[in-house]
Amino acid sequence: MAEHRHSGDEAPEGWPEGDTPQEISRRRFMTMAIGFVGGLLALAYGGLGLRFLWPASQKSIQWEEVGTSDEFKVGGQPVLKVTHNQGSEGGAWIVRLKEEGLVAYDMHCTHLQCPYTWAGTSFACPCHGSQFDIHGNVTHPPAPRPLRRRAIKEENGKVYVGGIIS
Amino acid sequence: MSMLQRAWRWVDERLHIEDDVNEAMYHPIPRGESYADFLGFAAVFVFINQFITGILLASSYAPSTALQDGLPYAYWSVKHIMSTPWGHYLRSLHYWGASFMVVVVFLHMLRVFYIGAYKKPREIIWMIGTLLFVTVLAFAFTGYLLPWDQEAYWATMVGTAMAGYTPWIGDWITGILRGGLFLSGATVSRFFAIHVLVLPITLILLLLLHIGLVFKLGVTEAEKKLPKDYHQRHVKGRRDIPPGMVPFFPYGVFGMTMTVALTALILFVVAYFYMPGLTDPADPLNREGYEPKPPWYFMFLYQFLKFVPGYYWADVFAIIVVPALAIAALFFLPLYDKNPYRSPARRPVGLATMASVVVVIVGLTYIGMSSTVKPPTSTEVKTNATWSDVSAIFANYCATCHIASNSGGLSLASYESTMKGGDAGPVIVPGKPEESLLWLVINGKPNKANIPPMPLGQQPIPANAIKTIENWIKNGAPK
Repeated sequence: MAEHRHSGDEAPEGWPEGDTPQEISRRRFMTMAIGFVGGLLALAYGGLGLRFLWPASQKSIQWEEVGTSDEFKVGGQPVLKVTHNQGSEGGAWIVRLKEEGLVAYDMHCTHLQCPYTWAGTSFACPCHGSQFDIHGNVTHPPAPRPLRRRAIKEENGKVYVGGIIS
Repeated sequence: MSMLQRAWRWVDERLHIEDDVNEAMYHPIPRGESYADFLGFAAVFVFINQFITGILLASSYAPSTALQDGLPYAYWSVKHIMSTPWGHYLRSLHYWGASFMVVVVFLHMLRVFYIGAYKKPREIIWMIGTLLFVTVLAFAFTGYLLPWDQEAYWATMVGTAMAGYTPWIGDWITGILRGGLFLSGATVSRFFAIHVLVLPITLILLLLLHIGLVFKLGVTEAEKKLPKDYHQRHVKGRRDIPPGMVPFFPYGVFGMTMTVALTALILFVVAYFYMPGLTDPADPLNREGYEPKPPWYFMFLYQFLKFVPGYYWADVFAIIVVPALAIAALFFLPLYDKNPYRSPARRPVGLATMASVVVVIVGLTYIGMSSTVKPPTSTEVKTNATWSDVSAIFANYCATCHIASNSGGLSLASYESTMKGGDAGPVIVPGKPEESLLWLVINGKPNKANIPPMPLGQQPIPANAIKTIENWIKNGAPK
């Protein structure tokens, strides 16, 4: 009998030899069914877990009023303003630049997200010593990239900050 | 027959486990085992301590950041727990238990490595042990956030940001961990669920497997003392013990009990005399300029990252690749270590590697800890200030950038390097504070080198300390 079997029909090791091909394909069917049902349940619960824990898009942060236009003058110092990101308090450094107009930087360093501060002539992070100029460009490592910018707009003399855009 | 014996008979008639229990309790172990061989059991004890104190803490803790009396609920509840002496001691036991766990497990691994107990046939026990070690670190990391104070908040901000360096899916992992872009009440809920549900179940399952396999295979030291045909010749439930060996009960159990007693004593005493406090409640804006730092057991990683140049892929390498390789190297150790000998004397390469790893980790931890800001030692102005006075000030306020590393080419680590200066030239002009770059920047004054006020991005150095430095320079900057 054995010489007629396809390789896939062979009984797994340890199973009794000499069963009929019908018996073997029945076992194969049951093994596959067990694997199928098990896999399906694992996928179902895995999917449920992932869907539930999936982070909301950072672009979804809505506009939030943070102050008035006249607080920010060209040549002024950057000011830290409170914002509420997805339910958690956060903040943005806002400054009006001559060339670019009003800009908002997310308050976390781009290295490991420590809170940096404005140190008079540059943004400086206390954790690993990163520094950024007023345009958000890195002037001292280890930060690997410029400060993250957040959407910002002015309407009717009020300033609104939105989600992270860079 | 006593009641107890009759009950046991009743059970054994049905389950037939007496032989297995006897095998486990009375199997032969070598006489005079080192107490270091019982470190694994000390770790089990510390875990039981974490389990019991953890359940008690969870009965009063609230994983929420909603405000209660003007404080985040999580912070408020920990404060509430600490408001009675017993509650404070309970938290102290759990807090110190976490550190003990890391230390005891680490020592246990060192001991197992030293005596070569991870070699055939115990490779799988070692691998499960590595997973247990990772689980312990995950426990420490998730538990650290729960009090929701500044320390917890910023350490977790940085810790979860590190996951963001995973190539391609980093931001997604960070988002899943935090339950949002940054930390929030969602992060506390997630970490709490992981800390009290996911990790305990994981640890208990792995631990049962780990210990069960140790019982199944016996301890390494017993192997060479057992007669060759021992396993064939003896049936289960044996109580006869080969010469030079003793039964596990009571000898081994006694050793374990003494190790536990010692561990417990140290834990109880340390937890009593060094009760943990709380820093200010988590402030996502960090208005007070709190300087984030990791718990001591992640300090070596923190210090290591300071040596990494500021390129994205260098960070990926340091933050993701190196730790992943290190864990893989631990996990697969029994598979690639082909040296057949167990005796330390015949494994020079292995032991040298182990020693270097320990030296590097301990060294980085030490440098890291001494580089973080300490409270000022003295606030009085020194008129006859010497190098030892100003170096104490430097150690408190400048260490992160100018002792642990040489930002701007300037090292304040020694008198010579301080006098030499940095990329902008000398920073001290003896006798002339107003011409000394160091004095100018700590006073936030304009200077030719255009260096911003120091300490960078933090509160200025207290006026008295500045005055002491000024006096030192005026006096000619003596050594």
